[in-house]
Amino acid sequence: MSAGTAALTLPNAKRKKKVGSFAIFWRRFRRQKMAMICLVILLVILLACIMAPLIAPYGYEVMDTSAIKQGPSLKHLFGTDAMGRDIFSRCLYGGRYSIAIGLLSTAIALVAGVIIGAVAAYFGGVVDMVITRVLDLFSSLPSILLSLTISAVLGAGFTNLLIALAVSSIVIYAREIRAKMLSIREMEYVEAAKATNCSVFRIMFCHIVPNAMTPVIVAATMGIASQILNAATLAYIGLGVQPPSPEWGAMLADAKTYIRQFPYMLVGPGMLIVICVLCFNIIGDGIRDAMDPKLKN
Amino acid sequence: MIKYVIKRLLWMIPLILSVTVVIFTLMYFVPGDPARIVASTDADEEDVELIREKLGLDQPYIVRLKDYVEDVFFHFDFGTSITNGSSIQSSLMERFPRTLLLTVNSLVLTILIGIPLGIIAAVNPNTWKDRIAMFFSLVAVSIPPFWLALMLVIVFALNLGWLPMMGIGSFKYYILPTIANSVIGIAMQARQTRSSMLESLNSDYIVTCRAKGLSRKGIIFRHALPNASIPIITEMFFTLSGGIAGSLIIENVFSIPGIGVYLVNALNSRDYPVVQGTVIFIAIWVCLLNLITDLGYAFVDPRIRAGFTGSSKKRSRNKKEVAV
Repeated sequence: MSAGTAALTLPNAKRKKKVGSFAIFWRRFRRQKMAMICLVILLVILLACIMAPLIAPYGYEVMDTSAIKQGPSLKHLFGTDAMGRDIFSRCLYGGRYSIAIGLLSTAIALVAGVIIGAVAAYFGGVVDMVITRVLDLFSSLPSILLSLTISAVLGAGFTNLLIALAVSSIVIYAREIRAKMLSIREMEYVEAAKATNCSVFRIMFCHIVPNAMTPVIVAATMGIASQILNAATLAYIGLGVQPPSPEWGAMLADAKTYIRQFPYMLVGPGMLIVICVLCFNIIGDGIRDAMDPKLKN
Repeated sequence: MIKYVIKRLLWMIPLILSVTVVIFTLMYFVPGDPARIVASTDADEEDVELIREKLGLDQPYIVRLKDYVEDVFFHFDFGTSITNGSSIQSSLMERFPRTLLLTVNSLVLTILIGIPLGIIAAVNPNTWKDRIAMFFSLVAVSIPPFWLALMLVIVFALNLGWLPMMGIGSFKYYILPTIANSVIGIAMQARQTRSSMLESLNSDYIVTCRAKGLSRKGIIFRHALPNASIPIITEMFFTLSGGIAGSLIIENVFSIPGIGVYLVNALNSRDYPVVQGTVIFIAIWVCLLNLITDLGYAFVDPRIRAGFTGSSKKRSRNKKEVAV
């Protein structure tokens, strides 16, 4: 008997063995053409930015006094700025800042938000009430205003910008994970974990949180997009990365001075922001559909 | 219902109070000495000390906090600017109408375009109309509003010369800022309208309506739309509070002298009383808008209204649901 069933189930079993939750997710994600295209575009941009010293035709601080304020040409794809620096090269270097800010600030907010939300949902009672009230407090200010205020207090600089952006988006993740955890907390397997004398920490972060991450991961992908936008906005106002550094928003702030005579300077960095943010948004949609088809629409 | 309104109104007080305390505390830790900013660069130590005393900066934190909260809440006095000594609340009052005008214009545009777009997408799901509407909204949320504003200026003000580039004046001056400020709102509104309309169009009562032989229009506007209205209304108020935040940035692009320009100028000149006052002022506005949103729900949805006017048992159950 065993030989027969083994022979029958072997091909199936072999295939099933490989299918982890990530593989299922990836199979669903791969089917979405738009999301895949965006993923490829984003990877290309990311690689180009990482390898900027190899790819960029000029250095980001190289000033060419013979080519000041030149329009886009084959030699200078996006043109040159008021100091004769090649805008395309600066965009490549600038992408490092912009994308790093998006990823890092989201990561910080995600970790902090998950911990705060998990603690609130798991302990409930007074702890939950206090945390929810504090979150209410934070969400009573629009996120851009909050990050604006915090970065004004901390002063300009890369780390301060990260903190300012992260703090203003913690609320989103804390709320998402709290809502999801409230329902999971009551499930039998959590009770089983308690019965086997798992520590509170282990129950929270090894048993409940992984099962509550779906909405948070989706929110985080979209979060990266909005952080890139917010970082650009802050830089534009003069609070983010400071001008000599080639961050996309800061480059736009620089170029705004010449909007009358040399509007082309605004096009390159802006288009890159739009493309990156759009890609993150579409990938976010794709991840949502792939992780939980029920959430579609 | 009245009880609910009063409860929500009372809850506003600690909320605004704590926002004030948080902002004040944040500003307290700002590096740099305000007295030194007020004093001219060549002032000696004694003069700085005098100014510090005059501004009450030599008082301990708790005393200053108490004074500030008292001023804000009992006299509606946000203090004076340290760069030019003008009263902050009169500046805010003078500038806020312009910001509000921009915000309300954006809201109107959002409602006029966003909701119909969402409805069109929802009644033709997975057709080209739906795809275009959703792709538009995806692109729209990905454009930095200030960059869109700059692009609009380049095309319509500089190249075509149809509209003024910056400043305030006749309604022409508000066209570009309103468009730039409302694009994100339109996109969000369209998405939200589409998803809640789809949900209500897929309900059983819509099938009943069809079976009854109601017209397509009647089904969409008399049955599906009212039942889908709560998320749509929520989104509308998000647009309004988000619109205030958005107009802070857009104002700077178009040099509209509203509170956004006021705030950013204050940030750049390190005029912290102004920053503090403006942020608290906006926070109060957003809290008010949230309150109106919540009351709006109760107004639109009889279920929520019943939850607060019915028996106490029902009320407590409803509260639990709201809390979750």
